[in-house]
Amino acid sequence: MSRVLKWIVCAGWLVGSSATVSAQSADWTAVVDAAKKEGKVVVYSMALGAPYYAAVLKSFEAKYGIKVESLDLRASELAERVRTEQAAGRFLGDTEIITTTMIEEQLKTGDYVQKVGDIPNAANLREPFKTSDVSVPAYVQPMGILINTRLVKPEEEPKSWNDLNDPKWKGKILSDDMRPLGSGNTMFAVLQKKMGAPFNEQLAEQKPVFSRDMRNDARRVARGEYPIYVPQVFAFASDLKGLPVKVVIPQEGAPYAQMEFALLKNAAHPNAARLLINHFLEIDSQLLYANAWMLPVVKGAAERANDDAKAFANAKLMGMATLAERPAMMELARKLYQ
Amino acid sequence: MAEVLLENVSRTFGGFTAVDDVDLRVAAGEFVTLLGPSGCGKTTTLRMVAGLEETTGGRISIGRRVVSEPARNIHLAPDRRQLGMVFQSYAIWPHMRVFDNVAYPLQVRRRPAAEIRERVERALRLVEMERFADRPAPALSGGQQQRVAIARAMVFEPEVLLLDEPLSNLDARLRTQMGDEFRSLQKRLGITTLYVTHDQDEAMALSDRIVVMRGGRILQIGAPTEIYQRPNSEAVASFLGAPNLLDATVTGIEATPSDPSRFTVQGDGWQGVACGNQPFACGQSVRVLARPEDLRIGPIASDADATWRGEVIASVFRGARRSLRLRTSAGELHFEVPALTEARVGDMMQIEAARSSLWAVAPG
Amino acid sequence: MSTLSSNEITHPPMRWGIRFARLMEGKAPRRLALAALALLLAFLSLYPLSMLLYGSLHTTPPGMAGTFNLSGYIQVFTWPTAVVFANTVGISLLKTVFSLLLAVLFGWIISRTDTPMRGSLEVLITLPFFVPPILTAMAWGMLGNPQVGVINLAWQWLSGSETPLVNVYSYAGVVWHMLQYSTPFLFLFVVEAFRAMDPALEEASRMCGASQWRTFRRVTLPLMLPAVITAFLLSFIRGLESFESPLFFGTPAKIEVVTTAIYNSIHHQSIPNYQFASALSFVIMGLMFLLVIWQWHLLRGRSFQTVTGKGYSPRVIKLGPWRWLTFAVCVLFFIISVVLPIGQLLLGSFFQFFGFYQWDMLTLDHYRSVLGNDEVWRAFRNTFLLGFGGASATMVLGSIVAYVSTRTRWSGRQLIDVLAWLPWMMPGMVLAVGFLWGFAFLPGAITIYGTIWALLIAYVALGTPVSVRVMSAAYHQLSFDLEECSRVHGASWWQTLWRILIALAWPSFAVGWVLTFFGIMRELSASVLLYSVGSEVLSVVLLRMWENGQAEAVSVVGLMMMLLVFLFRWVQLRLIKRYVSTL
Ligand SMILES: Nc1ncnc2c1ncn2[C@@H]1O[C@H](COP(=O)(O)OP(=O)(O)O)[C@@H](O)[C@H]1O
Ligand SMILES: [Mg+2]
Repeated sequence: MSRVLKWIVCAGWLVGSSATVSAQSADWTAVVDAAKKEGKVVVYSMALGAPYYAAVLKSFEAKYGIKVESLDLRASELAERVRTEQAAGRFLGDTEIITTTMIEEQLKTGDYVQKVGDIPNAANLREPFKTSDVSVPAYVQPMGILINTRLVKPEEEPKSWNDLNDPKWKGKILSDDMRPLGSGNTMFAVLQKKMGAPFNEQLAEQKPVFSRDMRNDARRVARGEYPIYVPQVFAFASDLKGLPVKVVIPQEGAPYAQMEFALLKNAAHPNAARLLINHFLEIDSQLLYANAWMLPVVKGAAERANDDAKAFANAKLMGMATLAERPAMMELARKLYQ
Repeated sequence: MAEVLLENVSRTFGGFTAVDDVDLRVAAGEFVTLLGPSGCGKTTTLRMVAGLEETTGGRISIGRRVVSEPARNIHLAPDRRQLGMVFQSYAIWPHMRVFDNVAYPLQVRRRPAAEIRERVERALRLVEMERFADRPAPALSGGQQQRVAIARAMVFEPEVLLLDEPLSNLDARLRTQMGDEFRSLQKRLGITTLYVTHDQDEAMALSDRIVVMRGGRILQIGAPTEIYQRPNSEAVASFLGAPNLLDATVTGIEATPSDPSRFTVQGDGWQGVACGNQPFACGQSVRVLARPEDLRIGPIASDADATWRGEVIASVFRGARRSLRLRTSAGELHFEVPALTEARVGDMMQIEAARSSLWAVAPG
Repeated sequence: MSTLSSNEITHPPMRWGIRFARLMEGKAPRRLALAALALLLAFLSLYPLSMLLYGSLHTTPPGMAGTFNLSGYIQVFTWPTAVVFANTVGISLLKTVFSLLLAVLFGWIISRTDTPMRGSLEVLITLPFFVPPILTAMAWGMLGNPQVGVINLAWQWLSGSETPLVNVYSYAGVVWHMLQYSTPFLFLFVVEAFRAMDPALEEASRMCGASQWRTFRRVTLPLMLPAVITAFLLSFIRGLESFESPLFFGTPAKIEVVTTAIYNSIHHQSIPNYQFASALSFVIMGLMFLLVIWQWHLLRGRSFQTVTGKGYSPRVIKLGPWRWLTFAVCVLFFIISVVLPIGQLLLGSFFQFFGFYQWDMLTLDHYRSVLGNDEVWRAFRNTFLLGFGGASATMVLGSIVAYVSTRTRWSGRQLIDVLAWLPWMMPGMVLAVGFLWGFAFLPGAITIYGTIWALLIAYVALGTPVSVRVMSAAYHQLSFDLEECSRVHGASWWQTLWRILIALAWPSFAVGWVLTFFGIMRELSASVLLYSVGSEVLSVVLLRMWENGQAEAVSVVGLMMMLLVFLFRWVQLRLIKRYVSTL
């Protein structure tokens, strides 16, 4: 009896949920139609013309016939343009792809974004990624340790973040400046939390040399100026194939920065924007990112990644910097690295 | 041709008055020279006529048109005054050929090319520079540049020509030659001309009338002979030539009124008759002007207006003339005698002034 | 003299048309034109600056609720900022002094001596100026790092020494990198000043028995004072605002300067601290203003008119065998400042990665990817359009402003001069934000924001200070007669400006144009904040490439730009030669 009841309940639930699914897909068809009518979508992004980003946009244009205009800016410029435009009542952008913390900041300081609404592909998000009212994860940039394979013998290769504090690396670590906001500070903050305060204190004793140009710094390590560079964004090493460098994913995991979509207030093309967000979460789109050594945010992409990218697509994540802790972390880094 | 009229024109720079209440009429076709020591305001006056300098008072008219009148806020831009001008530096544009320099006033007036060519050629022929049309302007000698500057100033047949010390950069011989050439050209074309110089010889040789200026004011206006022979002040008198100026007192006025009046004057150890056109009274102090060329060794004539005795203290042979300097009771007198005159330092001699050659002016 | 009267002068009755004509004959047109000019300049410089002033006094940027306070300024007057100031001034002063010495030396060699191949040397010496600094920074990093720098490896191999010879990551490295940019920049100013000078003035000194060196010191240099001082100031101020060199070479050596502090406070803060950035900029601006006033003081009431209507012919000094020494000096500079770094880039551009010279990495891919990239071509087209339009507009504006400020006695001319100076004294990164705010907050109907016009206007504003300086220095040398003569002979003000002043100063005009053009080509801060989709400019595309790790592609574009410079300079010098030969 109870079994029957269970079955009935289950069936009813199934019917009900399939009804909502079809209702939802009907809604989504309306979105797609409206998006096509809008004909265009303006994205503000920090991707600065990265090829995989451009490829996703291209596939979107091909699939829906909707034109994408992408304005590529550095983080602070993007934030300031959005802020200024909204304050001046010039609503030129539809959506933005920026770090999670920047969206948090926007929410804190003003009224720049609107509710995203349902995005069908968001149902396919991998752990630990989830949407919020106003944001949808887009992709993730984890970071590890870059070593010069000529200067670091295989047996010396750091396995753990702790290995950086080996006395033999004193003065031999090139690092992105940890004091100002950026990858260096993100790493600093995450390691502070996960590895404990003594770790960072010891690292400071190693006297890492700071620099401010991640792309060039990886090459400096490749040329042998320094044996080790931290933090190495995996993706930035994917195009260094052929150089004597290797990215190590420490056993404790990789700190990361997460990029998310948000829908801008008074967007002129909100439906096209949502369609684009959904398209970004297609497995094919995420696969492009995975193959560029980034961590896909949806299920089913990492498995299909190229061999050299698989490890990075499945890297163990350590955590990301949070807005609340940021001032304290920047302060601490300034203190440790006078 | 147009006349130029300046009424009470003045110009101050900050607190300094460079040109003070100048009244002047240059008749159509007339050649008038502004003469005066450096810094007396000649250039400023000329530039105000040209419109390069603003007037701070008075009125300037060219032809029938008021071109400057600060009181009514009129200041016509220089390019609308239709003038020709020759600058002291010539202001030949170094980036142009001779032809382009001369053609410029026509080009900016957008004349047809054929007309420009014809008129430039004519102007260059006038100053005998037609062979140099294609020369780069800076590759010319001073005299040639000066001719180009004149050709340029006259090429569009301006109503009024302004010249600021155009000959001062030339050597003495060229200066005379160019001056004469220019004067005959001006007469032929009949252009109203306002000319600035500090050189009295140049002024007298060229001008219909001379305006003597000092400290921004006009001292006297008149024909060269008038200015020279009948100066109205000691300043004018002493600026032209290198005259002897003697202190004297008027002792009598000739009864029959004439122009000029004749006065008997009494100086230190001499007395004589001087002409003058100011109403001097008996007992008044005057300065008596005795030009070196009017003094001679006497006695020759019975009607000499005055005589002096003294010792020769300098005797300089100058080719055509000999300059002597004589110490007399009235002071030192210098004068000129024929070159071959025997006169040695230490000689005592008597000199006399030719009739009607002494001229009395008020002292100061 | 008969009494004068004006009764004979006709006074037609005043009608409206005549009143208007009368108005046009007075000072009204000039006042109107002057007011229009002042307004234009105010829009270009005062307006964005006033936005920034607001930003420096307000806790939040325009358009956000906040309060007015002085915390930005208070933060400026603290000990760490004082150290930053000292670093900045010290570095800039050092590099300006050294590069001025070099520039005067080269200017003299090129324009006044019979050194062989002066024409080619002139082009070569100025080349480094036109290379994006980021590229030479990278090249010098490869050449001069203490670990594996080519120079150090060569030195250690030659001398057997263990210690490196040079370290570019140091004060000296920062100064050295800046020097490569300021020397050609100053040289461009100085060489024109040398050219425009009447050698008769020098000859007169030689005739008076002065030695060559004494003549140079006592006559030549003082006559070039306006050009030299102006160049010194421009270069010193630019040095205070220099960014790439301290970022690349100073950061690892823990040297912080004002620009990197500003960069941090805008780009690497949790919330961009515009209040501090703009307050810091205004304080710097105040300091620079003192310098500018000092310059006015120095030049006031002195005449430097060396180009007179009397004409002259430039003459060169015969150096005899010494001319090979001067030749060698120029070549050495060229080798060190161009061949070494640019050679490195050129070589590197044919390999897959910079600095890895292996046969199997030899490739033309970078050229292929750049030449086959539509975006690059579109950016080139946009940049050219903006460059030509912007440089021409800037130079015309600069010529007019310079004219008003140096050649007239109009009241209000100092104001105009100041207005034109202002944008130069504000660090580019901050000024760019001022433009962003300024254009965005214009009344809604004025849609400059988000169009290509925003870029153009910003470029004109950014370029005007240099164009004004270049043209003032040139005008300073022209005698007033040349211009007045033109006016008297019927040319209007415009005709005179074009046909006499600019025509005479045109070598400087051309130099200014090229400087402005390449300034526009390189400008990043404002470009990235103001560009819109479709109006991408080269610097934005280069930034993208750089951030994507395509350093080799960036250098390909850099090399293309150099080729362009080569072409420009060559044409320009040909034209100057033709002009000079007519003298
Ligand atoms: N722009 C000026 N500013 C101040 N004073 C001036 C100016 N131009 C001329 N002056 C003064 O006005 C006076 C007359 O000058 P100018 O007309 O050039 O004399 P000149 O009779 O030698 O041509 C001089 O004392 C001169 O110093
Ligand atoms: Mg004069």
